[in-house]
Amino acid sequence: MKKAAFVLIGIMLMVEPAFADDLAEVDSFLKERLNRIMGLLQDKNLEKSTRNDKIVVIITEAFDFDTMAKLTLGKKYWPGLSTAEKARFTELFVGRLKASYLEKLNLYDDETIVYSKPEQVNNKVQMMTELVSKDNKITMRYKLYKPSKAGWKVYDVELEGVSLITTYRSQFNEVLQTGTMKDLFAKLERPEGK
Amino acid sequence: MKSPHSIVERLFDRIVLSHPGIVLLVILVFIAFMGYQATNFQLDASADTLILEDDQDLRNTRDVVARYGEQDFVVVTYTPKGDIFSPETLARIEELQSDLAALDGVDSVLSMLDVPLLESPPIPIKELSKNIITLRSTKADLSLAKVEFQNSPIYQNLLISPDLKTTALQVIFPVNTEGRALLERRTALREKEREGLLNATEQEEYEKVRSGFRAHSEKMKGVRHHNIAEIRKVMDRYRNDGDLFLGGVSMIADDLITFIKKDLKLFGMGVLFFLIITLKVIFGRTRWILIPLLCCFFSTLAMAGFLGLFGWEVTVISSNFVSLQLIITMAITIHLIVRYRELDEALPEANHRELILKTVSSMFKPCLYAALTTIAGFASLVLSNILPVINFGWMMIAGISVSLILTFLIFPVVLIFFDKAVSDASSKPSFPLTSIFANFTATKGRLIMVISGLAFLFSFVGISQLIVENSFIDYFKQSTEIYQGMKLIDQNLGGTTPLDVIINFDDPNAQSQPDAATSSPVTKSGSSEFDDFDEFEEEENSDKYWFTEDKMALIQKINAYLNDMPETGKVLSLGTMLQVAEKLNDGKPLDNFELAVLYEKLPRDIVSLVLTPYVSIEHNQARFAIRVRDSEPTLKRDAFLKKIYHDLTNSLELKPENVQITGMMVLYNNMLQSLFDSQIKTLGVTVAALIFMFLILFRSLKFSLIAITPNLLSIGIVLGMMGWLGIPLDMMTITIAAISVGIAVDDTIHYIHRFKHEFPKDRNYIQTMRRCHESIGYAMYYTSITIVIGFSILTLSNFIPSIYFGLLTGLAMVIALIAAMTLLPQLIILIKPLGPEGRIQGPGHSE
Repeated sequence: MKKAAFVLIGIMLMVEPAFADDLAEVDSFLKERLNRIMGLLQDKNLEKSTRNDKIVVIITEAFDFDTMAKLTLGKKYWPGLSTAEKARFTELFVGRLKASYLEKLNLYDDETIVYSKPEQVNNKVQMMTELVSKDNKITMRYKLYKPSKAGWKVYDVELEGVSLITTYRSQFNEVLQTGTMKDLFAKLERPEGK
Repeated sequence: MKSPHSIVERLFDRIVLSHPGIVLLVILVFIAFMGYQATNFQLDASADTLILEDDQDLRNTRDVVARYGEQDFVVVTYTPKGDIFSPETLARIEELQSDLAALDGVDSVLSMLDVPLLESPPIPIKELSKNIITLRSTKADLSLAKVEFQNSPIYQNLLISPDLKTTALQVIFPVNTEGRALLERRTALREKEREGLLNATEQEEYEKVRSGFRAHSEKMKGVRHHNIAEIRKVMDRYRNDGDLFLGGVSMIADDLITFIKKDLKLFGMGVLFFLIITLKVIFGRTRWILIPLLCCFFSTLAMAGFLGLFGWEVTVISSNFVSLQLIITMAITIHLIVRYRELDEALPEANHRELILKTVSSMFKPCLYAALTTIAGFASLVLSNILPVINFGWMMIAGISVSLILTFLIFPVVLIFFDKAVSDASSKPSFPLTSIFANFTATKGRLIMVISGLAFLFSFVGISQLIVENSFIDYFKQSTEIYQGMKLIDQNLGGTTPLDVIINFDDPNAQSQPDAATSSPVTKSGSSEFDDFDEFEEEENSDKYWFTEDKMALIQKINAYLNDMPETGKVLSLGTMLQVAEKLNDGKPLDNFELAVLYEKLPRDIVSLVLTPYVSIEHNQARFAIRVRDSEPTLKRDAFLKKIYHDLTNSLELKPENVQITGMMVLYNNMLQSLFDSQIKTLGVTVAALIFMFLILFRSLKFSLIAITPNLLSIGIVLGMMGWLGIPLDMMTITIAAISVGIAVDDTIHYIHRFKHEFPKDRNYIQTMRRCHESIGYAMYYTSITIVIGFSILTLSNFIPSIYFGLLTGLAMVIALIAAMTLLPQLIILIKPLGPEGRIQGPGHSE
């Protein structure tokens, strides 16, 4: 019994530094990319399309779009799709997500980012940031996981407590509840808000 | 004194006529008691009295009210002389608002000064959650505010008229929690009672709750009446600065009561005065004025006592009962007077008491028959499913019985105090209308048939054009303040009658169940990849994710559809709020994400203002609170409601089970539609009941069919005339058809009864007809003329239903009289229901 307890503490002690490493990794990974994005946003000399292209490059390496696509359909719908449907959906969704993200970024100009310490949640990490302007404060929570040795990836973003993935999920759910995958594709093919 | 003829007559003679003083005393004690009970007599014009009790829509409406909240309020409109947005006027509005708010029994007052300004100056949507200013704030830009109010999808047509000349202040009364709790309990117990599931304690509770609710409603009516009077006093102080009107459902109910009471008092007096004059002209002598009036007064008072005793509330529908009671009592009394004078002339040697006994005994049977038949007619109202109409039926059944009994007691015991005196010189009218009718019937039989045929045709075509519409505004003359105020609110401040459209969204979890089951093998293998992310499974049900683009687009589509209908005034829904948000979002619709963020960030008091009344996330439904322009001439209520339902389920592709239309307008419409059904059903039953009664009374199918014909003509012409004149069938006018039956039956029965009595004398149809016209004809003629003249004064009322009542009752009387004096005898002469002329038959046939 004593031995068992000793082993357990030993494991915990072994694990702890590993977590600490994870947190530090996430911290620098995210800060680095967000600062680059802020830099691009604040650069008034940059052409909008060039800027957007550069931002897309950054978010593509930070976000795990494939997983995000999968999560928005969830286990209710995703496993039932054919490989071709999965590919088509991912393509359409990622396009939609990028466009929406860029559109929202365009609203920000004079904000500065305040970072909080990353937190461990199960085997994933969340990091809270605040976009602070003169008289406003917006909280953003980045949720990351480590799909491979290659490193951390963002799988969801929460703005003021509203999850990007869940928002899309509820929207897609509603379409699929009465309609088919085809309807959802048709909807995603249309420009946003139409 | 000669020995009376039957046991009943002997008893009547020995008990009543021998002790008139005692009988009169008993009657007076009874009347005094009933008069005391009459103080409990209640007049109810509340919305609850105008709706069907068994209505599923009533339950739905109450559910919606419980879910989204309800406010009892009135609206004060203010049209200042100057510019509304000038600082002076705004200050004046503020003063008016605080004066109103300071009144006892007023919970709060909402005006244009209280609502958030979003564009004066514009606020970015990011900052919507704070820095909200109003017109009271010094930061407000008045010229921008003017534009905002003019264009705001929320404020325009609600707080301010489109021409920016009139503003509305909403005076909100405290929520009547006690009343609502009592009502809920009463409804629950009533439903249980209907199913026969009440036990003894619940039965006791039901009685208690019922009387408690009634007492509470009565108290609230008084309170509201007082509130409204106080509000009007405040308004009076501002009349120098502009025009002010009062509107709102509470006010309509209160003003209706006031109008009805005023009409009862003023025109009750007027009718009385006209009756006295007419009686004086016809009969000349004081006793023939005094006795009918005594009978009428006592009967009405006794009836009012019954109403108080049984707690039957007089509603707009039954407010005519006083008039009816007068008509019926007057008819019985005039028949007695005419009969007395007839006998007096025929039997000059008979003494006063003998004459009275003979009068009473010879008239009791036809009067009883007429009363029973009329009761059968009114009993048909009990078959309708409109509670006030049912109550009206019961009231009339009781009223006719009271009139019959009291008149047959009061007439003899009062008359016996007078001496016999000399015969009335003028027992025949100076204008011999009855002989004209007799001659006409004798000579122009065929013409009568042709005219009657045409009249039936006229009625038929008229009835086919009858409409069922009910606009409160049409109840009042255009010169009245209530009309002008309602018109203003209707046309410029969003309409009057509330209507709710409720849209249910499909339950996101409902349909997925079978899906999940069938795809479970796939899920099993693929689910491991989701195991790490089960955080999303629960989160999805959170309120903020309810606001999806699809839902919002649908809500806005429905909102636009409802708003575009010419009949709708103000439409408030989440769609209206989204319009505002869109405007702040540079004209772009908010996406799911923005909606969810906005929902999270909005202060809770704003949520309760812009979301709670229009969305129930818990029930997955949205509400569209509509006010309908009641005065819109093109408004056809039933068609309008059907169109909304049709368009929502077809053009907008909603599932029928997901659409619910409720609210006051639906309830009114249901009642109106059931009036149509009721009218047809009750008239059908009435006619069947009449034929049945005639069969019992006359024991002859021929006579029964003859007797029903003038009745049909009378109802037909009254309803047909309403159709031709475009007078809609509403809860007030529906009773006129029933009344005309009552009147026509009276004439028919008296005439046939007399005819059967007179015929054996010479077995000549024409001669019998002449004798009847010269005897019972007078009574019918006098009754009609007295009542037509008496009720003609109602046409001076400001209350349109009273005018219709006066005119149509007069019409019904005239038609009934003409039909009974021409068509009825012509049919008898034609069909000869009493056998061939000339040959004297056995005694069995005579009276």
